[in-house]
Amino acid sequence: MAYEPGVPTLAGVSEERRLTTGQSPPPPPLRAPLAIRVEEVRKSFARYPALNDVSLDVRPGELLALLGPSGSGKTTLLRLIAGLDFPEAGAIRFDGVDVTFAAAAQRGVGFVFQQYALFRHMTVAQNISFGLDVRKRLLRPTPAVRKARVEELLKLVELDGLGGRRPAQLSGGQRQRVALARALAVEPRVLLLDEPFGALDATVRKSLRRELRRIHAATGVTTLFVTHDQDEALELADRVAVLNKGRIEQVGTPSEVYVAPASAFVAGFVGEANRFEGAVADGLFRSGSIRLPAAGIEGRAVAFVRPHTVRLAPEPGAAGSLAATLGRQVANGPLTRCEARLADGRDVEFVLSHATAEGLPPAGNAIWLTFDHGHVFAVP
Amino acid sequence: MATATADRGRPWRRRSAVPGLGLTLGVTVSILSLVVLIPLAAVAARGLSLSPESFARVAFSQRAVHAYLLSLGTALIAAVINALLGVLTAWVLVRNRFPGRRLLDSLVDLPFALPTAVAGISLATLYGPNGWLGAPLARAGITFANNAGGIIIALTFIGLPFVVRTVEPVLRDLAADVEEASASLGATRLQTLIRVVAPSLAPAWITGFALAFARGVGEYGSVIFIAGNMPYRSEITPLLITIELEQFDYAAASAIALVMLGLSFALLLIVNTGQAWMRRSTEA
Repeated sequence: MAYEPGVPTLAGVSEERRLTTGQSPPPPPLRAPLAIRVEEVRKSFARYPALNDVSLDVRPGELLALLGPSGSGKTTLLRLIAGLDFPEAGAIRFDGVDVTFAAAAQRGVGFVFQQYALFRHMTVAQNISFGLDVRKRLLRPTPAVRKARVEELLKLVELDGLGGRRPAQLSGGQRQRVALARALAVEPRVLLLDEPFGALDATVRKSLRRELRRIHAATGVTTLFVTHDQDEALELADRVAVLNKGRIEQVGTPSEVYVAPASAFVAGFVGEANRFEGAVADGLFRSGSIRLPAAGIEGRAVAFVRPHTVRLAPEPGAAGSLAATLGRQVANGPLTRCEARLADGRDVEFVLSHATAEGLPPAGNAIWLTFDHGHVFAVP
Repeated sequence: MATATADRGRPWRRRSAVPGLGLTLGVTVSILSLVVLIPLAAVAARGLSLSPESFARVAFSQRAVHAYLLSLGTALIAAVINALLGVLTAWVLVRNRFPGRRLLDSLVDLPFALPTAVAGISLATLYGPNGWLGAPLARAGITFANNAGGIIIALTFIGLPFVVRTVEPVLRDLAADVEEASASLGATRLQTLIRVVAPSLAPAWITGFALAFARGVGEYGSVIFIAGNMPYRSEITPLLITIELEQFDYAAASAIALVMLGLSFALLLIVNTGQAWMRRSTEA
């Protein structure tokens, strides 16, 4: 339990991870990463069910995002894992051990709150040291060790020299770094972050994302974070669990979730998509003059077409192409976002490479589009 | 620099987005003078009209010194009791939902509204030698007549709402996530209370304590019915002042009042300075 400074233990960290840490300061010590299993957990609040029989496996050492709109139950799930709330049914296991009703203090969990939740009357160093200071005498490191640990964590979150400040003297981003350091100080077996960057501006959010990635690589601790920002989830996480209305719709790597959405909700929530309602018959989705392949579905359906899969027809009136009127074009780096209106009045967004977009006629002219791929889901 | 030029000749005046400093400060100072400062100055003037020897003889007579110590001592003890009881009451009112909470909430304010004489008579009836509680307690050898005990009970009754009402809003605003953070870092419930909750409450808590103490020092009505008012034993300063007034010895009454005023002011100043220091160290 006692921590030995100057002996950074990197056991359990892959070679790749060790390389990515590069010049970063010595990481905190590691324990074998923890696996979390959530089994058919149910939780409801007075007005509405927050989680309906949710199951989730978190692999040891992975960085998993809980992604969903507000009210989807993602924060509730995180709080159940942390021991800040308790489920009505189901179980939560850490490495197979049932911790469903264990108190937060017993779980070895580091929790980072959206609003930082720092102790305002303490200095930054006292905040970080808190989790060590409150330990039982036998488990408590000596003051010198605690001090060294605080210094090391301040370095890890790049706040060296600010240990004497009060939280009120720090910016939002700095406060969240302190909260992160404080959570890491107790050498948690799981790090849980509830919308950690939600209250920060875009620039700070970007840099803290990289920071979290780096710290995760350096510590190797199993990490879950809650977000409603799909960019954040896709950029940061090893795997993403998409939640909607108290259920997990899909768990997968960012590319799996994006390329092969498991439900209409995931297709619409993760990444951009044009949405068309129609019906499937004989393996073909029809909506107005739109046709898309759709295997294994019959009846009412909804199709999602990603803007980058829309193509310009090789020639006007080509087989299977759709007539449209070109609308606004917005050049955005190497890509150009375009809007068009189909002959039946529906709007379509699509993305072309800058070079292709240069060949487009001015807005208001006729163009021909082809949809060769879409995600089609039956409507219940 | 432009501001400095515009305000030349009025260096104390800063440009501010908050309007009406001159007007509000003027009204405040006028009313404060009429209601507080001038009457207090009159007390001082009256008291100091005595020659130094007779001032010392009147204001520091053995009887008067006993009264000061009794008043300050009982007010202090009652304020400490109130600080503990008050925080507990506020905690229950803020954190718990139970039938009758609203009723309890209103009951807390009752000592504010009740004429203090009514409170004194009820307490005397209850705790007096023949009272419902006083009689059995007297048989057990505990009495509240003619000693400081009765005074402390009266002052506790009078001062409780001050602590409850100052602590309550702070407790309500105390974010739950701070306590959750403490728990998730491994702190026990008691450690969270002592290390996280109490320091956040401290400024309001001290204010409530100071208010309850100040009220206790000046309290008259509720105390005289229960205290027995024996000189050298259970005679509080406000009563001594009243006795001097009844004998038309206004100068003596003012002299005693002046000493009491000075002592209370000094104590409140210490408490408030300590509190300001604490607040600075939290928010700076």
